[in-house]
Amino acid sequence: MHLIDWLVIGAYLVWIVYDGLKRTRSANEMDGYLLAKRSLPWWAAGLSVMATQLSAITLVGTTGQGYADGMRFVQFYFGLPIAMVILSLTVVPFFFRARVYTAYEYLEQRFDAKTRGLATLLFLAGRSLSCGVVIAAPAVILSIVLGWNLTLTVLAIGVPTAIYTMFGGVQAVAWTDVKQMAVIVLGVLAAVGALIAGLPDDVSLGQALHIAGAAGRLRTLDFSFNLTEKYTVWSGTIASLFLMLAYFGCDQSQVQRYLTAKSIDEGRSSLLMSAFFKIPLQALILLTGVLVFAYYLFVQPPMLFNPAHRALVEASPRASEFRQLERQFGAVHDERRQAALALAAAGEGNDQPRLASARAAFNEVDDRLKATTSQAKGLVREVTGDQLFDDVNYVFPTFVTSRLPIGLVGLIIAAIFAAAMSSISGEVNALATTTVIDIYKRHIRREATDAHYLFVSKAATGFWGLLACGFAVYAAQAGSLIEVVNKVGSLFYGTILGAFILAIGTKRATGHGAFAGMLAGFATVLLAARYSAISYLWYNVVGAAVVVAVGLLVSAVTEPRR
Amino acid sequence: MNGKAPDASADPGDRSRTGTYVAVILLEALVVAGLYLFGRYFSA
Repeated sequence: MHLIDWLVIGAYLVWIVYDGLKRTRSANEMDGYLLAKRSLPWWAAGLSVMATQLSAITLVGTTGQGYADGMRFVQFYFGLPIAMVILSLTVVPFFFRARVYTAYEYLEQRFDAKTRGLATLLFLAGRSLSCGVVIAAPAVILSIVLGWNLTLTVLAIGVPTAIYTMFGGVQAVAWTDVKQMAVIVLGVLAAVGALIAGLPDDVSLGQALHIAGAAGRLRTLDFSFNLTEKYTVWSGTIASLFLMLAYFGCDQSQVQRYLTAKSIDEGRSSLLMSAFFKIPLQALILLTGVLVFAYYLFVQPPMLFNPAHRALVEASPRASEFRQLERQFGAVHDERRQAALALAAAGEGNDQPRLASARAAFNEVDDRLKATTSQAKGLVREVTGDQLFDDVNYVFPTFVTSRLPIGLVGLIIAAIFAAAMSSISGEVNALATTTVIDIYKRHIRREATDAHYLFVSKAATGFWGLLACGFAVYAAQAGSLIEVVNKVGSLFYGTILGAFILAIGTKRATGHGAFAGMLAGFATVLLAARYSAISYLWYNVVGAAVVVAVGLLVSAVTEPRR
Repeated sequence: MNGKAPDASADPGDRSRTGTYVAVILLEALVVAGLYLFGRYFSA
């Protein structure tokens, strides 16, 4: 990587840490440290909500999805605007009027301490695991693509974030999130510009999109009703609605973002901002991946985007088989490039039979190229024993580092850092807040000075930051664990969401009912994950439904709260 | 306390947003329709 790119990344890190530490002055009491004295404008809280949700996994993984599978993944977000409206009408006013620091405090006000305690433990377990993965995933990719030391990459992402979050509290989190969102959007737009500029002179953007469309990359909606299929209109609208309700309504890492807003109304506006912008932003990120696909129609990509696996195969006894596949890949890619140019030329006129013939020829050679790549991936799986191997997350970083001009490489790596850091800061901040408010202040030391709780909050932030870095180092070396832990959130969310539906949606539910419902819901989700083939998005629906059903049943036979 | 939930309209920071909610859903439906038509146009 060029010195200028290093300087861009360094400048980004210095700017963000300085900006975060600048907030230390306004974080000298608990209310300021944990809730910014409920003083943030809606747009800052809203950008913080969006930045916390958009992790580096989203940025790198979504562009990879766009490259390999097209725009279908955008359906995953169809439930989000509906969820934001429902939350604006329900939990936002409840949380603001209850003057709570955490979502789980409200469960004790409505039910009892054990229900609050169980929700707290489920949140801490799920979020602490995912926080490590949020650091580990981009660190693994950047270290492999750029040849950086893995542990140092984890620390380069995690330590600066932990430092400014520890000293600046939620103000540092929110205001750095605002700047990090700007860096992310700038990075994505710069990549789109570079991709369009990188198309051959005789191929326009419209022609490139037509070819991507012919390859099925621009199909957005899938109406098939299949519970094992991850991305359909139904899973994206119904199952994703439950996931989004749980994530934005019951996960402290999001609740704490909008609790910093000045009023109920501004809190609502901060959520509605995501409702407006999330789908277009995700579509833009996916389109970036589609444009990478269009770019590599004319420039030969590596057969495997993960150089570490490629090196393993090349060092194995089956290296000659791999080299043979690579030669085949090069020849078929050349054929596909010719077919793409022919399709672009055929699209210019009104000769429909010629267009149909060019399209059929392109699809035939594209299928052959996919088959060759698939054989190569199969070879990697056999040689390495890694049955989950897929290199989709390496597509965008490989493109950036090998094809973009000096300066832009640094900007886009800074954007990947920004996406990771904005999520980690919000999560560490929420883990610390929940630890202090729902455990320390509730069960260990109920009466103490504000200065004492502020000190404990900072210590808890430092603790969770270090723990996340430590877990990230472990998770990064465990490889496929990342795929598994990525789905962990959905094991917990449905159960917590069910408790909040009982709390806000019914008057008859009791503390015993909610507690029993949560235990039953969590057990059912674990069984579904172990013994059924349903996509993990549906765990949220299953968990919430069981909590509500069992909760109401047990409530009917137990004493109501007096 | 009279046992009733607090009156939402009593909070100056809490105004009715029905129009905004409807606008959000309609606008996002238009975005989805736009994405669908975009895909159809370039896939044809």
